Amino acid sequence: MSHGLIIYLGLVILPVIFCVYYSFTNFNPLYPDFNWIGIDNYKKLASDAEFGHAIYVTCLIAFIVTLASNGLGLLSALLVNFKGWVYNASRTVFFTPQVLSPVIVGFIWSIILTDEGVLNKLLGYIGLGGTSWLANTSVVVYSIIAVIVWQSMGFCTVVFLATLQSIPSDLYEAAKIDGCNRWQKFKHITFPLLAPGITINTVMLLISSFKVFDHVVVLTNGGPGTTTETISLKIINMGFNENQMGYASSMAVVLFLLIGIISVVVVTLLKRREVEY
Amino acid sequence: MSSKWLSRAHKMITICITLVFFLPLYLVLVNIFKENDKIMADPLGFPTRFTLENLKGILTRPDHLLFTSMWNSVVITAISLLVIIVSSSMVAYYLVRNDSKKTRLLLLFFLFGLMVPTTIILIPVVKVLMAAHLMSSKIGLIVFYMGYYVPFGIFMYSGFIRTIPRELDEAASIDGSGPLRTFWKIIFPLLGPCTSSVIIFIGLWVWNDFLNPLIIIGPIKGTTITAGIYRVIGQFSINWGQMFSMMFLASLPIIVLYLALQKQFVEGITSGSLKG
Repeated sequence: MSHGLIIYLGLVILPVIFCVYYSFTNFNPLYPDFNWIGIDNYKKLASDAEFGHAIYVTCLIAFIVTLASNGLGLLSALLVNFKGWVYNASRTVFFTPQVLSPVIVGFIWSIILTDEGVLNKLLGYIGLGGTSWLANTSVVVYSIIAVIVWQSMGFCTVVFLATLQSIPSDLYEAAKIDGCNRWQKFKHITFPLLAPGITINTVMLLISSFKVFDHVVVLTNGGPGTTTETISLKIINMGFNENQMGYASSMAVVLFLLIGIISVVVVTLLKRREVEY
Repeated sequence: MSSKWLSRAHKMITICITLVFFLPLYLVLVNIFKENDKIMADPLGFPTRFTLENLKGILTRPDHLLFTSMWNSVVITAISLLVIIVSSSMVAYYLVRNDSKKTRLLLLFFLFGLMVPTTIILIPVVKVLMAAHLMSSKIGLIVFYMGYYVPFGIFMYSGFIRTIPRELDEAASIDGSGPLRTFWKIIFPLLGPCTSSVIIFIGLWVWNDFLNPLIIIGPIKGTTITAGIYRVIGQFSINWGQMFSMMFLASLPIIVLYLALQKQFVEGITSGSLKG
């Protein structure tokens, strides 16, 4: 019992405190001495256009991934919420990417999306010209988003299926007696009662996509240039490649605040719209 | 009549969508068995001449990368799971059963850890592990996982232990069983469903983790399977057959487990998140 507490203190709480402390210093592992420099790191961050861009990219990825995975997850859950081997097999397939490592998923998709890759070949067969999915600066972010959505959709499907099955069937019978059509049933019964599923998916996806790292490293490594650099990528590069650990720590503090604020806001908003019949 | 057609159409649409979704995985599966020039010419075609050269190439690598890194991953995942389950279930039991202001605060204090992404603490974690002489070792990584995932274990177990009636503990203590014995003999066996959720969640996270092994164990020796793939995949930039084989073999254990224990996987994830 006490081991758990000590290790947790040493490897989670202490590092969080150290991270905040480092963010006020010019700590660099190559030089043994470092000084307290006050809020200089944060001042530098505020005028760092590349960091601003990293925040924008991260938010864009988090926002679209959350929306798209929820939407597609709901559609696929409604599609396969039936009995029969076809639907069982389909559920298995939808969930499979979820158990794979993001690194492997990234590599599979990088073969599909490179210039000479599978997607461009397929488009060539039907007479369409593709583009450099991983080098064209105006589409590359969306390529990454598509890959993440492909991997995380299955989680939403499974959560929505469980939520759908928890909706009592007498509600639908009552609606039938009242003469509701399919769309009305969905709008007035299914959708409101899916709220707990939406809350879980949104929170899980927002938190995981705000710290997105693996997919981006494998697919583009932040490139071309710095087009797809996310906050996590920037922290790791700044801290471990450029050795500016003080500055990297101030980025980490910003990321932490961002995740904290957004999860609190989203949870309160979504909890408010959950209903009980 | 029309409803029969509708259900048939529904089935067809489901099959089509599933096939499109499956395409990237199909790509891996067929190209393992094709020669390289065939892959380049026709990546989606079914292999006309089966070849096992790609798989052989990976399995007989002179550096035994697949076997050593797979073994490392198995060891790291198994030991991490063991220590996380033992310590988090006991902490959760203690905190839930000794309900007071102090323990409730302690529980909140642990749950705070759920919100901390690894990227944020990695720099100081390296410092702490260096000070403890645990950097560049499997033990260092396991200790880190223990600290980092114990909050998740406590979160899952504390919710589950609350649903177990206190009378069980009281009956055991009247019969003269100490708290530790009560926990292991009576409570822990009842936590089975929760333990399998914890194993599935944390097992997947640890097995698939990439950044922490890369930084804590370092790039040279004793990498895990995920970090190992990242390290060597550049060598295959033109040899897609071997690249696919490598990815297939590396994910095989997890895919097999998933297909065999599919029900537990899905239940573990939904019960963990819906009731949590």
